[in-house]
Amino acid sequence: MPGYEVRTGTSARLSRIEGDLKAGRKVTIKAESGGKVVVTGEATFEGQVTIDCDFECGTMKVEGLGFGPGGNVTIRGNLTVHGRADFDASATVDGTISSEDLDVGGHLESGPIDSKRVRAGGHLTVKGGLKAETVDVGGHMKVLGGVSLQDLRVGGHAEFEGGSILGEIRVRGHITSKKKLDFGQLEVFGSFSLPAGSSGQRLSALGTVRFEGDAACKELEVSGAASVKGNLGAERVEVKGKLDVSGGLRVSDRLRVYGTLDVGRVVECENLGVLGRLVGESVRVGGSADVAGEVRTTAGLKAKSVQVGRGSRVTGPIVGGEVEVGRETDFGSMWGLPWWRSAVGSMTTVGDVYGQSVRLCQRSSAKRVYGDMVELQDGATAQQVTYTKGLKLPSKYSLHEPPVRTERLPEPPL
Amino acid sequence: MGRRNSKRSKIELYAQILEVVTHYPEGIRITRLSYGVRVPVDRLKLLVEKLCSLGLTRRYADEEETHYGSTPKGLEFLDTYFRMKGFLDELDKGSHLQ
Repeated sequence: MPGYEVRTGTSARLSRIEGDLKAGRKVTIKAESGGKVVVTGEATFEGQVTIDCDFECGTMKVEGLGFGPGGNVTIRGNLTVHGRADFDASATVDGTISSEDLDVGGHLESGPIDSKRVRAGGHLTVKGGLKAETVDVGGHMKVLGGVSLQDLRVGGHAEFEGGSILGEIRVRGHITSKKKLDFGQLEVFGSFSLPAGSSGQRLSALGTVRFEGDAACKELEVSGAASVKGNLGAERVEVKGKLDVSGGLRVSDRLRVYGTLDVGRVVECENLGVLGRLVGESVRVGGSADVAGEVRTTAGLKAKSVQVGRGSRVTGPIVGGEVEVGRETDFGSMWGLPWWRSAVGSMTTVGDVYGQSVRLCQRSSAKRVYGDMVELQDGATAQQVTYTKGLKLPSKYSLHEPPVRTERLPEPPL
Repeated sequence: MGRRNSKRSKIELYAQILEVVTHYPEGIRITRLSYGVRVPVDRLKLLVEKLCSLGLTRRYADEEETHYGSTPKGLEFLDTYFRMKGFLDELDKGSHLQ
């Protein structure tokens, strides 16, 4: 196939080559006219190459000479590769890169990149936007513009100006997005910082997660510490570490708190499980609320059914259809957590209770109890019991005031 | 590309080697790996041999060249290392508050 050859250590002025270009080591390519060199076939370089203009080729290969500054690729213009660009070297491209498959063994520093696939063994620094289907970076990734990606895998840290990564994101270090990010499935071992308005499908973080404003995430799993400066909306939330939400928290499905959840305003969810501690202004649950730890509210906890396990504590009123306080329940088996063992004592303490059916089990203590049907078991304690339909008392119980039967119960606070 | 501020520890180097190797499921040659982790080939060979002897990377050679690839044990090491590093970074941040 016709082509052109450039010998090691020389420089060549080229314009358009029909066929392949073969070059030795330490070559310099310059444009003869028009500021661009075009190779219709494959461009192969044995080692270090400096291209002083825009460069376009079918495919490009740079064979490394081993470690050292002598093996680098420098392109002082735009690089367009219609097929695969494969560099056994580090590369610096002053202009844009457009290719089908860009594979750089070392570090890559360039202007904006548009490539179906980008892989860099070392660090990737992009002075502009990055558009690709998959990006694999062994070291750190820093993009000074927005990103539009399907999948991202980074061995070190990743930093970019927002955009969208709709597939899988796996970053072993930290992720920082300076502008709003739409993300798919995100897994990060280090910390994660996102600006207001960011939203995603699934976020699993071992370290710290910071949302700098209102945020939405379909599934959020926090093993470390997370904070939201605003409101958080999600379908499922699992807190194994600590989650602080300065505004409200709305969870359309399941909220599980194994660690600590601190919410500045209202918590709303469909199904609540607390093995750790939940603090909020009020908690409204569409379905059932199971508490095997501590819930602290000022305005109250409301659910269709509320079960407060033995040894748990609820501060603030409880409002529910069916309320059971102090029953010994193995929440670990119930929620599929074989490792869980109750770390709380046997005394169960709650505030005022409002319910159609209220049961205070052994060693349970409530303030005022309002219910249609109220049952106290042995050793249960309440300040006052007011009921409309029935009251069942054991042989041993303690009421600070005699029970009162009434036609109508007072309105619950929630 | 500027110089790093602090010298990498040996364990960081091993983790970086493994990280780059895992990004090449088809195998990676020592030259390319040296660019990825920024370590000269002669020094890198000793480190990779150590990883191979521990079963954290594997070496396979064809008629022309030798490639290195990741192993399940190597992936397990990487996951554990970065999880641990995540925890330690968080603990380190917490210690500034005291």
